[in-house]
Amino acid sequence: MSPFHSFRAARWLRTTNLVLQAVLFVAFFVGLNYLASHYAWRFDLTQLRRHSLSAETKSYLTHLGEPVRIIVTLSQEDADDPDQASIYRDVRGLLREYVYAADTAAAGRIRVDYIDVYQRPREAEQLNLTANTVLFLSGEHGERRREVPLADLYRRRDKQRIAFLGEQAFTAAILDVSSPGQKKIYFLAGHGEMDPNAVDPVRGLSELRDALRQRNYALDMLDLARTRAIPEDAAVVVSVGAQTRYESYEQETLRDYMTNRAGRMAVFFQPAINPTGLEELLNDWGILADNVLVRDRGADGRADNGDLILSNLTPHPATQLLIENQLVLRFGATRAARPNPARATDPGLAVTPLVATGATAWGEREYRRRLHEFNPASDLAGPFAVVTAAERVKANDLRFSVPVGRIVAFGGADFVANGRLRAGANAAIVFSTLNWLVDRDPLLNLPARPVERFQLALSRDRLRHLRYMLLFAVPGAAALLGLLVYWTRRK
Amino acid sequence: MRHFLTILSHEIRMLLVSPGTYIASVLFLSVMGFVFANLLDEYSHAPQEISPAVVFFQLFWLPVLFMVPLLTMKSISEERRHGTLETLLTAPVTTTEVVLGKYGAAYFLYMLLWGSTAAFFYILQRSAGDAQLLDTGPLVGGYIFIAVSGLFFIAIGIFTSSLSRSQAVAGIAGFALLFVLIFGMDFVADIDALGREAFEPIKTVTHGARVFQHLDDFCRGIVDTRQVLFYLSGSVLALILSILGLEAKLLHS
Repeated sequence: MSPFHSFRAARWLRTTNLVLQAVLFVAFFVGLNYLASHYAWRFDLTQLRRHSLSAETKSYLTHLGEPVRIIVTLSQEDADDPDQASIYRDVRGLLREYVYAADTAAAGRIRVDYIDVYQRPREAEQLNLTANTVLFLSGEHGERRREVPLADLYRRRDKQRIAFLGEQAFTAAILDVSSPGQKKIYFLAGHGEMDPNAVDPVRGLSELRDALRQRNYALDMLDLARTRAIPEDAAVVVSVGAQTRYESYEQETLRDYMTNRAGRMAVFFQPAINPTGLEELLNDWGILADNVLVRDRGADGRADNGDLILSNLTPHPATQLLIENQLVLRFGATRAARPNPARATDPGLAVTPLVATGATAWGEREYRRRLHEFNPASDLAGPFAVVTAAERVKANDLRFSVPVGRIVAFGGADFVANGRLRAGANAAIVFSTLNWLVDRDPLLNLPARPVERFQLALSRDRLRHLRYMLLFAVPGAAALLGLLVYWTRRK
Repeated sequence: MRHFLTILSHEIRMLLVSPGTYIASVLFLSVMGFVFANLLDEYSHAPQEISPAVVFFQLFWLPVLFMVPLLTMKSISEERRHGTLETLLTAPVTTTEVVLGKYGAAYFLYMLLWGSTAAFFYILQRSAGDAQLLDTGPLVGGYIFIAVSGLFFIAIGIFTSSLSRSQAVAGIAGFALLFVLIFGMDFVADIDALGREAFEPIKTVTHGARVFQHLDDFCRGIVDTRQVLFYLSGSVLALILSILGLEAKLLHS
């Protein structure tokens, strides 16, 4: 008999077959998990998707141009800071979402390393690391770097952490290190405009300045009377609350910038200043800035302090966030900034009213009078737009149009001042408008995540009762069930 | 697979009438009740930033390391030691049906034990009357984690039970494998040498297999398909290896 036909041979052949099957299944397991790591989905089941990154951050990360390395020098335990473990957990959880979101980016992966500066001093020295910080590095040799200190990660009240601002800080840092150049915003000066460096609550824009820098914008001032030209690196030119009229050569410089250089501009009017000299320019772009003061007799359109409540929004990249989250704006003194009906037929111009008043509002033409009453003969009847965007588009050979200039006119200016920027969705519309003007994707304002706290408020007796229930009730029920089964079986 | 349900129902019936099951249940619930009562003490002293459910589930390893080997160690090794497995396989049932039947019964008991701990949260809710204290996100996420990871942990127990005729050896091997899976990956992922680029794939694998990180995600209400697949494919692999190993042993017995 051939050795291959013996039981012994058949047994070993079968064993080899089993071993090969095992190897095959292990390979299948590895391959399947490898594939899964590249085609993964992550679902946030929480009601408000509170652990997910915002659409704004995701939008940045999916278009990340180059890899970013994040080094965390936080340690889980620190005797000096009892909150350290919570901070570490917040940072670690959030960065995990960044890594996952950036996995889909073509070139810009995010890598996170946790380094204890005391245990790895050589590496810490090489990278010039300090303890308790989050460092963002980008560039070929990590030459672009930005540190986010722990103090920037939380909003505090009475020395207690009340909100986690990690997403704002980390996204800003990633934008900072991954963008070779920054978009530059020029604030016009020389006509009593609001000052980005002033901290005054009524005329200061320091909060707006800080928030824009956090979003990786570079800011500068521009006095057209001196320069007589718009710098080449201008991404947007902004005029906020000019109190005197722009000279004709300044108007011509701005018109040239907008028309011949496909410029981007945002104008925030100071009501009761008329003419500002920009009305003609806006008219070219299909926007009519009426010299009226918006008043509202309706209870829904007015706040207790007299601010206008504006919730009548038109879908547009600049208003998307506000519509989705049903946010409202709070403007102070405001004039109209509405589409010019006479320019509606221009096929190369897209004019969109972004924010409109309610039906109970009117535009008071004789606003210098003491008493304001709606006069149908002379006043502007509501609803009408107080924020309007215009975009000039040009058809090309590829059967789609390209924007060759964008402008947004705001009927008011004081809503961006320090005192009102944080009210309602004022900040959100400013940032999303600027993002639209500079061609960044429709972006969302990043919300802070509240820090939750759990405490058991029970008296000593009730706590003792709870303890006994936990220790004896449930195990006791299991024991009773066991005895019942035992007794039934014996019978 | 016609006889799978027959074997499964028989195994479950045997478990439910066995005094050992109730002794194990009482011990399990006593330990977990003690743990839960102690952690609530902290919540009565000072406000905490983590939900009690998260802290409770972070101790999942305690019952897993001890209960899973106890639940599974005798399932196949005892049959082999008594020689009843060969007898069982003379009936028209396959090795796969036997392994899956025992696996299903052990998983049923595992989930029954963990399901009983929901009573702790019910008692807490009734006593405290504070809905905020009982955050549903971590609670639901934690139980999903227990259910999904339990598939893998029990499969590992069944696998180690198929390796040896001795219950003790199977139990210790199960404990060791589970320990490596739960704590070993965290340890390996923290090794500094893996920071080098050459070891990047190993680092990626160990990072992806960290059980505590999975738990953290589930407790935050995040379900990641990679993690779910890791447990599902892991349990299938462990069961297939158990079946193949068992067939190889039967072949050489």
